[in-house]
Amino acid sequence: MIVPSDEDLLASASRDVDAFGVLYTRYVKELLGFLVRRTADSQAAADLVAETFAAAFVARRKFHPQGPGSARAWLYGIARRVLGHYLRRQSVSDRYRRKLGMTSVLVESDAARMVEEQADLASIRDALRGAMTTLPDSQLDAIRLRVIEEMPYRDVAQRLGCSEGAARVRVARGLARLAEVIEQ
Amino acid sequence: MSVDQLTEEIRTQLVAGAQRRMRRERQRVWVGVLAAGIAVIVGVSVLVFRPDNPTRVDTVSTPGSQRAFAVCDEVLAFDSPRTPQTPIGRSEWEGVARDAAATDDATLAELAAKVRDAYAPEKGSPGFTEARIALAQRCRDIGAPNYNPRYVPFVPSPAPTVDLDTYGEPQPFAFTNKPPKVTTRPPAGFDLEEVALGVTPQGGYVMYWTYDGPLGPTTSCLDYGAPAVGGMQDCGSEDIRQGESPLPFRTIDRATILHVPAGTSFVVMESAGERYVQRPASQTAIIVWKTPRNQTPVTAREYDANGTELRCHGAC
Repeated sequence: MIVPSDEDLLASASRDVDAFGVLYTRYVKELLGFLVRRTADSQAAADLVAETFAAAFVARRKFHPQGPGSARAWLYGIARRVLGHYLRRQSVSDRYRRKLGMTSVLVESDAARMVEEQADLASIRDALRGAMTTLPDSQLDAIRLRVIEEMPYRDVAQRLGCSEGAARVRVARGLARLAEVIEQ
Repeated sequence: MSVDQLTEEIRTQLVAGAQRRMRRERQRVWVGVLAAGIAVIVGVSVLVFRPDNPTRVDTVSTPGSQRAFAVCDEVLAFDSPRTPQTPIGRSEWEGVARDAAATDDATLAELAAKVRDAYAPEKGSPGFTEARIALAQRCRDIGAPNYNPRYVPFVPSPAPTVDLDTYGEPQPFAFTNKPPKVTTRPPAGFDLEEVALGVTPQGGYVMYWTYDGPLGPTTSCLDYGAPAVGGMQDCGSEDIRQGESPLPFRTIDRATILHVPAGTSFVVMESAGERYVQRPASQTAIIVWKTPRNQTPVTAREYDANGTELRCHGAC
């Protein structure tokens, strides 16, 4: 039996929904792991996966194969864009899911636990905890005030006794370091 | 619920939604064909029954449409920080050109097509950078929000209580709302925050802004020397605002730039008989020299508001 390539499946998806379904089955768990490792939130990751595939379906005609692996790269490109929106806005866009009439799938606690286990989130949490101990106090405090306590930068700067610009940069530097850990 | 059940539930919704969309797409094609047929019939009728004084209608592109802005943002996304970096290839540029062609902005479509045609990494992409600059300029011209940040004044340093004239010839740092003519790369990015601009009468110029990147707020800074030189440097990740320790100052031929902590009230720089004083703005001092430095040592001293020396840089 000839197994169609990802590129063939995406090309067929213009006319054949089932081909897109096969592509979904091939990549859904991999993408779910990719997204849960970056969000540490199973519900958000499930919504991001759905949004990614919905966006991919809506834009399927824009895909032009450029050799083996190009479909996977294209899919990941969309996932990164959707993830970027989530990280900036702290909410998952439902723009493409709405186009397909999809609703959010509620991730129950046992499924969330299994998703996290599969993504090996526990080891990432440990690594993050380790990385946080290596951050200078100034960056750690800035991240705590801005990210955990969600303070505006003006208040963060006041609490830290520095300029607003310095507070922003401390947060950015600290987060960049933590992002490196996740990437590893 | 298991992970399989979860992914299956998403799959069910996805496939059902995709089938509905495909049906709608087919319907749209038929409606399009029907509309085209009607248009042909109407067009032929107009030609056959043409009045003596036909009204000429010029089609004018509507700059600033949301679709055009979306194309501009698509290009901007290529430059925004991504984790990890994804290479931008031919298909991306073809996508941009196609999306631009679907807007009502003919100029944008033409410029996007030029970028696509210029993209040829195997040949070194001649003309690619110029084409991208022209495309970005078009995006600015039509008012794409992410290419047009708002400008605000710099934050001045603490006012000195001493007479600055006794420390040297003042080079004041004025606040402005217009970039200088030498600007070749104004801020571009998503969720741009307000931009601070400062300029000296001698032509020293600094622009400082932040934007929200995927990894959090990112600070950028551009320094320019005197207009005659047109030099430009990126303050980049080593900006003083990332910490509180001063960096070695840098010279760009005619100008010397020093980033200082928030407590610094004024800066005095001297080199080859020239001696200037300036109050920093947004923790940045930029002194423009009468003659190019050409390896001439520069001494820069930071003072607090009372004239007490805080730090010395360079040839101290």
